[in-house]
Amino acid sequence: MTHLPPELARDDLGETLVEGLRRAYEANQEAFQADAGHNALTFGICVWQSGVHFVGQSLGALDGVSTTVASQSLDIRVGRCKLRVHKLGDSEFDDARTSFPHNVGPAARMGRYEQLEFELVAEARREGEYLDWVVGHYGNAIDGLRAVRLQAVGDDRALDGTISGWGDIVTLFDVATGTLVQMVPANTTHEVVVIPEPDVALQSDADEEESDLRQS
Amino acid sequence: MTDEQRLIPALFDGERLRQARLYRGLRKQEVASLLNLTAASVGQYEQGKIRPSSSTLAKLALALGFPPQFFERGRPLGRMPADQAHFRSLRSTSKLDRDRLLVRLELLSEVVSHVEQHVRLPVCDLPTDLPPLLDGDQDAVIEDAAMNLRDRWELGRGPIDSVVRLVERHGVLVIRPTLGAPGVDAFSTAALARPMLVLSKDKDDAARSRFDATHELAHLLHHHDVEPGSAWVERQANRFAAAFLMPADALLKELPPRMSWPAYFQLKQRWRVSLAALLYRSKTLGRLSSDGYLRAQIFLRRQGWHLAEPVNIGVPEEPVLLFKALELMRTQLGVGIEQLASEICVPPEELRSLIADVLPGDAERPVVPV
Repeated sequence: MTHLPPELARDDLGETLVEGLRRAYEANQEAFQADAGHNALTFGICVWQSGVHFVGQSLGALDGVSTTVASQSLDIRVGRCKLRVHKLGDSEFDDARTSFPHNVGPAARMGRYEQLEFELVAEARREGEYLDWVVGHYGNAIDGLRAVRLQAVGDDRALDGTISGWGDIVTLFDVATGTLVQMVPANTTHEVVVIPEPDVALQSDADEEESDLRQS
Repeated sequence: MTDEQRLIPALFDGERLRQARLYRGLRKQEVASLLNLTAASVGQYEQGKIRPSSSTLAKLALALGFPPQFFERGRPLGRMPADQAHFRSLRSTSKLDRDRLLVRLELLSEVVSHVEQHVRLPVCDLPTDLPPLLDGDQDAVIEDAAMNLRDRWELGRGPIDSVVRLVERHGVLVIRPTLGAPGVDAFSTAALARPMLVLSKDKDDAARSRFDATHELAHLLHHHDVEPGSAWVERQANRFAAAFLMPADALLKELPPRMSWPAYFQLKQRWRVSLAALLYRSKTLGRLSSDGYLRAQIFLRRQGWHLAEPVNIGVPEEPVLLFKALELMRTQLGVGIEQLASEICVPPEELRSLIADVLPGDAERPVVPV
């Protein structure tokens, strides 16, 4: 059973998130130079900032989605939901259930509700729903973007209040299994040509049809 | 011995002996050993230089598992010379195995001729006025040829949902035998009454099978008088298949501006072609740079996708034409396998084995070892 609220269950949102992150990865893959001292840390930081740029830019065009940049991080609001983007792993094989934000950035802090915010959220939240989600992306400088998952901030907390368990995980894109957001190519202009089965007819019937045609 | 059987040696057709021998995958020497004859005698029977006696014919019929009437002259006989088939990788197989397969096609062609006495099949209307593609023809000529065919068949520029149904509607007989040879994918011939397109059932890959079918269509249309199997002929057929399945103007509108696996997955599903074919087409059309193509290939191999691609587009397309005709004969005329077998003088079990290659679905099929 999914805990995705209705405002997040829209194809264009998932598609745009994946596309923005893909662009962030590709831009930094091209710029990555191991012999200039670039490493996984610098790549992660660059993808973070490029993600703010590309994801923010493309989400801004969607109806019902607002984005602001606070503390160099993207704050995404969709209806009642709040989303934060965070790199959670290096490949699609990283276990999403045990991948958490390890720094003290905004995504990690999503688990620490202020008392007032908690009350407001609790009021808006319907049973079985999660309203706070981390857009977890997985990838590296060599292979690029490998997976994107929406991971719901559940009720499990570590001692410092950070996330220690996910309420739900929805895969938007996984390069290994081919799972991807449902989207129709944007510039489709040619419809699929449907070929019917070949016709066969008894020789006598076909002759009669021809004869009828000739007479008419 | 009946009068009918006594008459048969006089009407003996050496070509039928060749067919029966090759159908069983036997050399002349092997047939000779079975009957205490010499290989030279068998050769002379086949060439029509001498005729077997009634008793020798009876022994031949018994040894080869065909009724004596099968060897009788008078029935139209299709001949399928090996050098008129676009074999590709089959060229690496033995002559005997190839001949065995070709004889199956000859007999299947006869079956179709008999079916056509009862059932009207689509007229073969492959264009005959197309200019042949020549060695050295530029890619643009091949692209034009593919678009020319799309225009003639009023296909527009969108993805084609079934290549097998398309060629069957234009009178080509498609068969999908289990060849039992890993390197063999497809071949075609226009030497028989109807053009035939053979797609190996061994490869369970819908995208590749569609590409193979279109590749063979290119041979049937444009490579009549060239030596089958030449590298340039194969290259042209590949280019034609890519252009026909993925018209440049339509695909360019949908190809992502930069390499994007999710986008290519979508395109694979929509155009029903392999990722490998899409990537190559993208490079050909200039959307992917050579470096970008190389990077994609490396990634593809690292994932093992060159062996098994992601994004399943379903099962390979199955032929339906002959199956529909046989069903019509059975249900409307009461003509079943037994009667048809009797008309073409082959044992019913051999007829079943032959037509199993044209049955749709997962029906049990005989393996033709190649």
